[in-house]
Amino acid sequence: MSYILQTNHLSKVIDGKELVTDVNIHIKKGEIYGFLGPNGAGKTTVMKMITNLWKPTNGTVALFGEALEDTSYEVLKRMGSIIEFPTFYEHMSGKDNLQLHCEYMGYYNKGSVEEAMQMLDLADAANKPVKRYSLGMKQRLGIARAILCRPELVILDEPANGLDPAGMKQIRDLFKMLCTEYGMTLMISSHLLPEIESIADTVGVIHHGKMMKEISMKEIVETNTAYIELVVEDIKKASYVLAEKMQLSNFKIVDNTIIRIYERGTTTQKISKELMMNDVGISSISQHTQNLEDYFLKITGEVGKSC
Amino acid sequence: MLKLIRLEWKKNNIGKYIRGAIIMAFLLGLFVFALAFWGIANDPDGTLDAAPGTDVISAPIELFTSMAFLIYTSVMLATFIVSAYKNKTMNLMFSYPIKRQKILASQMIAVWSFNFIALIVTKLAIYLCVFMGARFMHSSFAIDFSIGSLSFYVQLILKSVVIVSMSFIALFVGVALKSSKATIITSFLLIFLTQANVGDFTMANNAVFPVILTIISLGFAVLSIVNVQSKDLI
Repeated sequence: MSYILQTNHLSKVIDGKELVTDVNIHIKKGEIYGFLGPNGAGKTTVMKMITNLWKPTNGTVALFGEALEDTSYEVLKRMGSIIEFPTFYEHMSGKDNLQLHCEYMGYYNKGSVEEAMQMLDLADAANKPVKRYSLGMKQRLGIARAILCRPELVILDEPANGLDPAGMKQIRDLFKMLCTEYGMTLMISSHLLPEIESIADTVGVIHHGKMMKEISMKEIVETNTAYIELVVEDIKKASYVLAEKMQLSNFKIVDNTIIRIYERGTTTQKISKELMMNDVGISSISQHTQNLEDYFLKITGEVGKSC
Repeated sequence: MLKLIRLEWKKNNIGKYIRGAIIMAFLLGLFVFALAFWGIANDPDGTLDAAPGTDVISAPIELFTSMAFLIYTSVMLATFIVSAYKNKTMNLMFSYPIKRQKILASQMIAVWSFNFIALIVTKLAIYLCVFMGARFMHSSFAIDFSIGSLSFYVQLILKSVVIVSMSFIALFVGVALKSSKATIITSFLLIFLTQANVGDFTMANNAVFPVILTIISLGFAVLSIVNVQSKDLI
């Protein structure tokens, strides 16, 4: 399979400290890749190496099928990015900043600046100096700049920083639209897992500078699902009904009263009906789904800690 | 390259620096005029209080314009380049599909060319003021230049090249230490080195020293950009 972005055993050491080690990333064209990790995990370091701001100590980056070298400048025409936080010429207006970006990128498409500002809801503030923008507005202006020249690959480091819930929703919808309508590929780092969960096709989890897992969201849903938790009065009888009467095999007895059923295709209604028919008293029955956050915490071993 | 230089001027608000240079030129002109014709450097008895060899009008003109523009060039280099590293706008610049050496060279040339022209115009204006003034008033300093001579213009240009280029040494120090203050302080030290005198000894009148200094300055300019492609942008 060909990837638009691929890193092979990417490592970075600064002053003897290993910031990232052996990171392998595979991003397919047209997908949204969520790059997850706690603060200090190495997300920004990897993104800096992908955008050629930092040079790998070991390993390689391949963009659009070609190895990234010190002299790879043409490839930057096909990328848009925000690394760490967006920086601007603060005395200039938002519109002038975007026009300046077009000049440097050699991108001349009439109306594109206005369109980008419109997309990010910044049209009213277009002529205001950036120094008078709020943090959220600067973040949106940074995103506008990153997508302005219609890049094939967009690298965004924590793009939701400083955005209010409405702004986050707007950005989420925008990312989906960029992906589906413009065919852009997005790599988004974030610690706001629910934001990534709703838009990502694939996620990569980095922790302590090491890539813990790279998995599609579909796979997470399929392999890490959910279970039904049953609290019953007679655990033996309940187990018998589940195994013999309902032919279920994928369940676990947690303690004297709790059973967890991982079998796919069964429902709480079916189970409760069968148990009642067999006179098994049920104290409670509930469905538990594992979301990305649960998965992330499981992978990073950070259960109980804040992300 | 011209486009890059133009963009550097635009994004750094060059109008602000033009205004600054005009005000500075006016103040320098006023000061030199006062030295020459209002006797502010004279003793109470009316004789000129100047060290031997500096009783000619070109001495204070060269000294003060050089000092002022070396510092001004360093301040501009600190703003255009050192601050760009510090406030991370250099990250943005290095995300563009343009050779990094070219980006830095354009920034350096944008500052160098602006100050080279500003210094020449300032010096010419001051020399012209003194020349005109001397036709109607007595000058405390000897008038040692000839506006009509070619060598006057050649010297004017060469000395301006040396002074403005020297700021690249200050830039190198500033970039290495990631400090705008270090850039400006280095420019002050360079003034002491090149313009000050210890007893009768001064580097200001040495003919070889400016050539060596210019070569060193250009060497530092090259050092500031040569490895930028393969280095981490920290």
